[in-house]
Amino acid sequence: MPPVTETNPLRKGLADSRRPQPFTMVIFGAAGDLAHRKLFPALYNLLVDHWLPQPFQVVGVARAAFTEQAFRQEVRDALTSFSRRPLDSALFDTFSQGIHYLPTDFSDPGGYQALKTLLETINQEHELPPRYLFYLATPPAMYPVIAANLGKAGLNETRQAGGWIRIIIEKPFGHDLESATGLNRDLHGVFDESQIYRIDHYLGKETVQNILVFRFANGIFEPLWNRQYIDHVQITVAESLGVGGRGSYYDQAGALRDIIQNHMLQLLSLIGMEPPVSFEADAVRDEKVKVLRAIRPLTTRDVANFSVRAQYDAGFIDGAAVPGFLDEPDISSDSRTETFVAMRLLIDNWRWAGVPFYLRTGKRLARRATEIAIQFKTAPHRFFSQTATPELEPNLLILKIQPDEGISLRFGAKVPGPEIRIRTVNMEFLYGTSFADAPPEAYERLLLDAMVGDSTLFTRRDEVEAAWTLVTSILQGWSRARGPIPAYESGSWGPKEAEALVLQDGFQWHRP
Amino acid sequence: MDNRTIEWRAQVSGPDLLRTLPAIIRNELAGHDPIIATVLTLGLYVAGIPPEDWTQLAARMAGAHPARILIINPDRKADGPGIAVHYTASVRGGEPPVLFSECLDLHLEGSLATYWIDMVQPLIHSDLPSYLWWRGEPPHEPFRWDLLRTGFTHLIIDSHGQWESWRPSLAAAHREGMAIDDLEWLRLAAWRRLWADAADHPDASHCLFHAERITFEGPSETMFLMMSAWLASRLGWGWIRSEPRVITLANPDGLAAINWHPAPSSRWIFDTARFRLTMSSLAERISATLENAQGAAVARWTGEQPAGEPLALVLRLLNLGHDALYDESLKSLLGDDEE
Repeated sequence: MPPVTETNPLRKGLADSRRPQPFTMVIFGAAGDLAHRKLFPALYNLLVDHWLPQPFQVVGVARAAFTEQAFRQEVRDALTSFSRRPLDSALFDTFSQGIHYLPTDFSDPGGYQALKTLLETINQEHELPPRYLFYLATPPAMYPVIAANLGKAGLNETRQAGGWIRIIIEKPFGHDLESATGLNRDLHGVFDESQIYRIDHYLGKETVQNILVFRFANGIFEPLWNRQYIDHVQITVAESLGVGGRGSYYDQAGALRDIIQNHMLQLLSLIGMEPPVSFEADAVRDEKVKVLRAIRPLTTRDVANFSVRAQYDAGFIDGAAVPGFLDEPDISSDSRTETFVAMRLLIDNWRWAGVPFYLRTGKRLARRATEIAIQFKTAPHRFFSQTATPELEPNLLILKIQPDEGISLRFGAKVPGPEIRIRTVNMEFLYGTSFADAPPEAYERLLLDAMVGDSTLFTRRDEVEAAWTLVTSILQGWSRARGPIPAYESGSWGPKEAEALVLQDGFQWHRP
Repeated sequence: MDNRTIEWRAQVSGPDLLRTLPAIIRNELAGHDPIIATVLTLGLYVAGIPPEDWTQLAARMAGAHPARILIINPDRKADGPGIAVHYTASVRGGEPPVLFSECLDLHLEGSLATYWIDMVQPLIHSDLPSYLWWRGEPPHEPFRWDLLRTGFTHLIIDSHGQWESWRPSLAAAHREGMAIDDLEWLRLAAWRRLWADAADHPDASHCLFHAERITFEGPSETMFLMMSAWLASRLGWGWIRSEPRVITLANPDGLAAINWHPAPSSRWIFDTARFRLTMSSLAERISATLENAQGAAVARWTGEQPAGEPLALVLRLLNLGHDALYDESLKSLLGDDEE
């Protein structure tokens, strides 16, 4: 096929210009939980919404010994259980014609030769250049193995006109700075950074993307978005669930690695970043990584003073008794893994100097809520009498990520009557009432982005390493600490040490 | 959160409607003032077209876009002046309750049928987008587009099969600064995508951009005009409708004519000395084929062409917003009428 033209004036401005070119997706770990619950439903819903190209081919790769027909039935069952839209049999028949399955061991080089042959056959049949999107839905230990074998089979690059090869990997991207840099080194031995898409599903959530829209598409907020007007920022990711069936994973990871290293530092960087010059992948990610690099490093003493870790104890959630973390299945009785983290971070740059960012996450907290609370400074001069405003609270802007997506602004209003009395009121925007359409799942958005080669919402190597630099310093500080780990009652908002963390600066946690 | 519906029917005068409506809502909500979740006002002008269950249609629309929907049905033959009004609203429970969507079915009688714009104006939410979906025949000119523009900022029409009768009205509305959207333009989205897909290929793009002969075979004059105007506007070419079935494009190679031959199904043919690019439709599929001078297929593209049901198209339009590409094409399409 001749080379694709560089600019196409007819493409410009089309509403669905994000529709990808025909390509083949290869899912490693296609028989696993992630593929069943998230990936195949996301692909199916993209098909329903006419986002998938025709022809669309997907190759499942896993160790399980399915026939192609049996695998298609597996996918059908997964869609019946997990798709956000009901399964349409006629549509599934079209979808399933493009589903292939290759049983192989991920470490067997022969399997990759078989994969190459299958992909070449598909390309010949559909007159396609090599366009492959590899998705590694496998345990992280397999990432370097699969990448190396793809390289050996010549499936890591193409020089053919119109072709491209991309690879998506799931978090965790390492378990500390050293392992993250090692993983990046292994991947870069085979793929260029521009081919690597590190997926953090949080960035696919509509409300997370709306942070950028809220900040940079509205003229009224950005002038206030700095140390002159903002007092402090609180980011909360609270879960009411315990570790559930993920005990053995969670006991190795903990809240710091599981939530803060990726999701919460992503939220922080979106809140703290400077306006990018354009809404293009590297422009956005350049600004995000600058924020992460500007976070003041934590010494061992800082870790002791400005971070809190804790484990949940037994308690009640929604009126039902729940066990403590150490009594959960697959958790060792002497585990020092944290299920709660709170910390104060400072960003040493012109915009945020002196504005504390408080991060808090935990399991078995009072309710499930993710939100960013931005507290503004109080009015510089109170010209209403003290009696009129005895409890006037500062303005608070809350970006609610889940479960009730929306934005709320707290401000003072006059209480009706002959006197001047002021009470705080909330101005609320709720996504569910202004936009009736069900938003796509995060995986739908992110898969489509990877298909069209837009890496804006994927994490770049330097972002991952900057985040791990911070997190590793905290892990090292904790490793030097002696004594028991604080506990908090399940169903509470965390240990008293977390309250003290903000109280030492004169603040309180916002209750979601 | 429990949902419920408020319903009210009455025969009232214009002022009575405006005065009574807020009281009816408050009364139904046990004295509460609701939070209004409406994000737009959508008028449906339905005079002279066969009756449908407008309320049902409005409900489908409001299910996707929380809206105040005004069904405007002027009837000059009916005695009046008065309005037969049927109001329905969907409310989500809670304190305060959220008024999620409203539909006002207005049968305007007597003089109100003539002065319907004045009656509808106060019912349009200020500071929110306001669309008027004009169903059926265009209005007789002269029409008070200037007055309509003060309430509705967007006009939605369907020029399918009636482009020529809409053209003077569109020119007038355009002059008054109304944003215009045409459902026929939305129906042609699949064709534009197919052309764009083909234009990724260098030989096919050469065919599209340097054709020595361009032919359209098909039943639709609107398609002939819109696709030609889009091609010209995207490439910055001059556009002259020299004859009813011929458009002359002024491009860097000189002049190229697009000829329309009426036929039952649609087909575009772009010819150069070395290649022929043919794009055609079959049922709900459209396809493009690039052939060399020997007639051998060099490349193929296919796409889907959805049925284009009007309501689905309007919902899509409200989701995506106004298409600036249509504005560019409309300038060519309106030609002298816009002056």
